[in-house]
Amino acid sequence: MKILIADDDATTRVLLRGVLEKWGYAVFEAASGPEAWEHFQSPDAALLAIIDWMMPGISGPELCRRLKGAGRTRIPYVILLTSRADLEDLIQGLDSGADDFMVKPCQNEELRARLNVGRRFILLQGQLREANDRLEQRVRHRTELIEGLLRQKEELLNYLSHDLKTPLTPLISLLPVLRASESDPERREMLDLALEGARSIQAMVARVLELCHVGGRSRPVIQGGIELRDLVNAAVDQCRQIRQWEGRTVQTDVPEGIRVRADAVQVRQVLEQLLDNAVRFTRPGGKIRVSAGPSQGLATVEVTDNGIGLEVEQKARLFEPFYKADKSRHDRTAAGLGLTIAKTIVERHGGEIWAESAGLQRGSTIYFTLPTAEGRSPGKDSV
Amino acid sequence: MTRVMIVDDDKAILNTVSLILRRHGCEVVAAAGGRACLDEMRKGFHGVILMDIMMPDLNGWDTIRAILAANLLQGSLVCMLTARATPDPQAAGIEEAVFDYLPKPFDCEALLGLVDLAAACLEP
Repeated sequence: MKILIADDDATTRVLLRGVLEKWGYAVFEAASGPEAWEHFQSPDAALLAIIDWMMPGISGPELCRRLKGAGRTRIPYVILLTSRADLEDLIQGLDSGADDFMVKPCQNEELRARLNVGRRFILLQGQLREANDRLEQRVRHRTELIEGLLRQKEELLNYLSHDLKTPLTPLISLLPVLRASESDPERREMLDLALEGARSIQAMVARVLELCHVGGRSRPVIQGGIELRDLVNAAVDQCRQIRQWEGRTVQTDVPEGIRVRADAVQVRQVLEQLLDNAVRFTRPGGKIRVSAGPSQGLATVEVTDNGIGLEVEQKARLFEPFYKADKSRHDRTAAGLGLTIAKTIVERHGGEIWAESAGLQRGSTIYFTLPTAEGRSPGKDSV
Repeated sequence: MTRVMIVDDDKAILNTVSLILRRHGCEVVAAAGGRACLDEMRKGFHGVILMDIMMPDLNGWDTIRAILAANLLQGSLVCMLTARATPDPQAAGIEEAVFDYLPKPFDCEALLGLVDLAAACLEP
């Protein structure tokens, strides 16, 4: 095993070299601090070192500090050698990064025993590094595997949805023709049911493709300075047109001047989805409120309703793909992807989305954040 | 009478579209792929062409390229039947030759509306 003796006193070096070579060490010598430092720059430098405290250029403790400093991978085991023997020196030496401390002149047998401690330490350190390397390699391997599987899942969903569109075409286009020419009310009802089924498959296929699209490689087209209030008002108007409101009211409370960094089309999609859910899960006559406020570079949007509310378990799983809060999954007008799409969009903007509810029948609030135009940039998280 | 050629490798689509258009009073030619479409064009077809994109022998875009190369598009309009929602890079350079797109799955009204519109544009 290689060992470095760093001492400006030639006699000490000669004496030490003699015993160390007898014990089978390959000995390197340095007559000053800088010479020792130079030795440690080599990738195959000694991992064991006996370093004198008082040396010209760089002192022993200073050399220890540099060797144990940040960024170095092969850190040697250092025995600091000194003629000073008080407790304060011992503490200062160990604090500087030395692993052991010996007072000159040292007994050969003690030196041998202490060097053996160092060898055990080096051996363990090597084993630890190897184990760590192996683990890291396994983590990398598993990560690649998982990423591959996720890609496969996405491709499968994508292809399956595309492929479903073609066989759906005869159903979507022919059933209405049949229904229009059917005079028997019972048969008409059957055709209505068949068409309703085909249309819900059509809607689900469209939602899955939408999820693949917002979660896929295409990135949101982010622009700074989008007026949040305009987006909210447009979404509310849109939702009023396509939904049966049946006496439900929506109140908006978004101050003017909150400008967000966002893909306007996608954020409107999120807002429309949250409003649609709020209407869906509120009884006729219910109240819905959309509000927003800026804080620390983020705008937080809240969509609150006084509808059926959420249990704790529902709250936790709400954003999972294909999850439906309605356990019976009877509502075939929804694919269970709306909030997953919303979450994907918000996260790709560098924001967060979450739900709160005081419990069943006690309403719920969905919150989401977006970076504001003047605030912090979404950075790497936005990819 | 409006002449329509439906080009699709899927038999269900060929039959569905043919049925609807015949009931609507169109004269329908069914081509099971890009090559069959080219054959019909060479035999003198002109009218509205409803073209699927993903076909095994010759895809929709390459079929259009071949029609253009043979200078056979005169008197016809091409509408693409597509299952994709995103722009197709394979269409590069020939977007101008496409009259319109009809996303699958389409309903009867959308199909007839498009065919009527294309036919009206073809009339002198």
